[in-house]
Amino acid sequence: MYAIETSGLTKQYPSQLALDHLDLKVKKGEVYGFIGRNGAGKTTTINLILSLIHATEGTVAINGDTVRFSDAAYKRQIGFVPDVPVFPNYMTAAQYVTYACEMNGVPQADIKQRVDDVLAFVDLPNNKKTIGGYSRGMKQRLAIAQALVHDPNIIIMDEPTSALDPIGRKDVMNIILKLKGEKTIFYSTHILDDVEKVCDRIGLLEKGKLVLEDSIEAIQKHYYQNQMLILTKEPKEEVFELLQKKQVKNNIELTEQGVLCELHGETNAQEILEILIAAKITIIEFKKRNASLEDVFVRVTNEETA
Amino acid sequence: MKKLLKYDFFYLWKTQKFTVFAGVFIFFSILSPLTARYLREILEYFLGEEGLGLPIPDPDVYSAYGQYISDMFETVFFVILFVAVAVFIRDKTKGLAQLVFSKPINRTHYLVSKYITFLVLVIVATLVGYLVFSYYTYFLFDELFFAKGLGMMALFVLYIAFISAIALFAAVYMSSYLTAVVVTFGAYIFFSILTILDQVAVIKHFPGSIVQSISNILMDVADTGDVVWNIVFTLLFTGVFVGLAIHKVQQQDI
Repeated sequence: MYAIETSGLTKQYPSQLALDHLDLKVKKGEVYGFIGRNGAGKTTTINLILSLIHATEGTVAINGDTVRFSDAAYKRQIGFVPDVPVFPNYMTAAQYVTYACEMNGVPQADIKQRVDDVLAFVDLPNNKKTIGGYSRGMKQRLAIAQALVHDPNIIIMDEPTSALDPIGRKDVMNIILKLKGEKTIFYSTHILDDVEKVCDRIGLLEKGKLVLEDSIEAIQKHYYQNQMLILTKEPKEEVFELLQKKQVKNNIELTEQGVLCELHGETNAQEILEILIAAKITIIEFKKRNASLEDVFVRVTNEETA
Repeated sequence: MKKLLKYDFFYLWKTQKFTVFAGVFIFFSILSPLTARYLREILEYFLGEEGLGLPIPDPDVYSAYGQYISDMFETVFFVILFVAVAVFIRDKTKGLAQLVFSKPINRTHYLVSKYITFLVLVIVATLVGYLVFSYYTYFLFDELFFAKGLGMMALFVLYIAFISAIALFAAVYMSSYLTAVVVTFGAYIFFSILTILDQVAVIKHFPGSIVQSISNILMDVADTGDVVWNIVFTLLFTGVFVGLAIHKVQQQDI
């Protein structure tokens, strides 16, 4: 049984197919990074999971139970952190978190303690300052507090760090790291550094389709260390042309640093090195390059677009 | 539902709406009898000794009630209309709805709670205003129709319940405050125009006729049957608009 499972989930807007038969499986207890460029369909997916919008086709299941649009009770199992949280300005943080408790059916006797605990957890003062006077970072931490206060087993975060300054972002990331292992976290973002830091698995969404889904380890193994960076005394353009002439069928790319050569191809690193030596190219560096998730993101999305 | 009511009351309280509404009602409950009592003097002050050139009847308690009803249906009514739409559409236009509906909140309860709290606000303000009006009218005219006036206020509240139901409907169907106000105002104009057709059996009992019913009650010329049908039709239309709003919000994408 999965914490979150979507089957053939589709959302068609009048002029755009926002989500195209999405089959998503988020395991219990994992941090799932849901990545994709702006407009890929990430927020649409979250809105469908939360029954904020109707699906054109397909289903959503939370902890094995299929969700109906009219059913609100299943949302007790979920805590939601929006990208730009909006709160009633006249409330204090404690009042809003108490409201979240009451709406989620937390027993009256437990509320005060829970509110104190959760505000301390996100490092927000429990004072009389109203939310209207909060900074963006404080509002984001409050959004996390109200999402956690009823102790849900699933936390859905929709780009929680996208509009924060570096300190606010670090604070939020630390909170996510503290939650890791305790909750299932569905973490939508386009900030790939954050994904690499906290996620167990990622799903890459492009134009409403899931184009890649794997664990961070598998992605690292498959994509990260399969490139060779070649730096030479001769101009890099010359080396690039040489490798093309010699019919090296691997993917070769001319970058700012030098020539980048894929290792998953017909020619292996040894053969490429031999070609260069035979052509009397003076090699400065010939090393495996650690690609980033960003490179994977660009490559996979470009392949999809092509 | 009780928890939703609690937080909707909390919102009205924290945003000073109880104070503002009570203030508006009290202002007119003092101003109306005062205007009625000193109308002749006011006109003479502004227009000179000759006044309008028309005889102005001696002020009496009827003119105080008449002035109060007139102020309630003109100025106070529009304050209520604008605030009603603002209260009902606020979560949508301020961007609060996404976080609200991410919680296990029953959408029907959510809407009904907003409607009930707003009506309670109107009832409290009307009562406070009426008590002040009664005291001040008695002070100026040594006469009062307290029970009859209370009945008239109940009809006023009923009419506000009807207009608030239209405001609720407009707030759910429309995406901006302005369009919701225009729709509510348009519906108000439409139902007011229908009162022209007072010769048509059913239409003469439509909600717009409440003003006429109130005037008839004041002047002791009301037909009980007509008033009852007027109440029934107003409740019916109120129920229809609230029902349509609930139906829509249950299906609505946020």
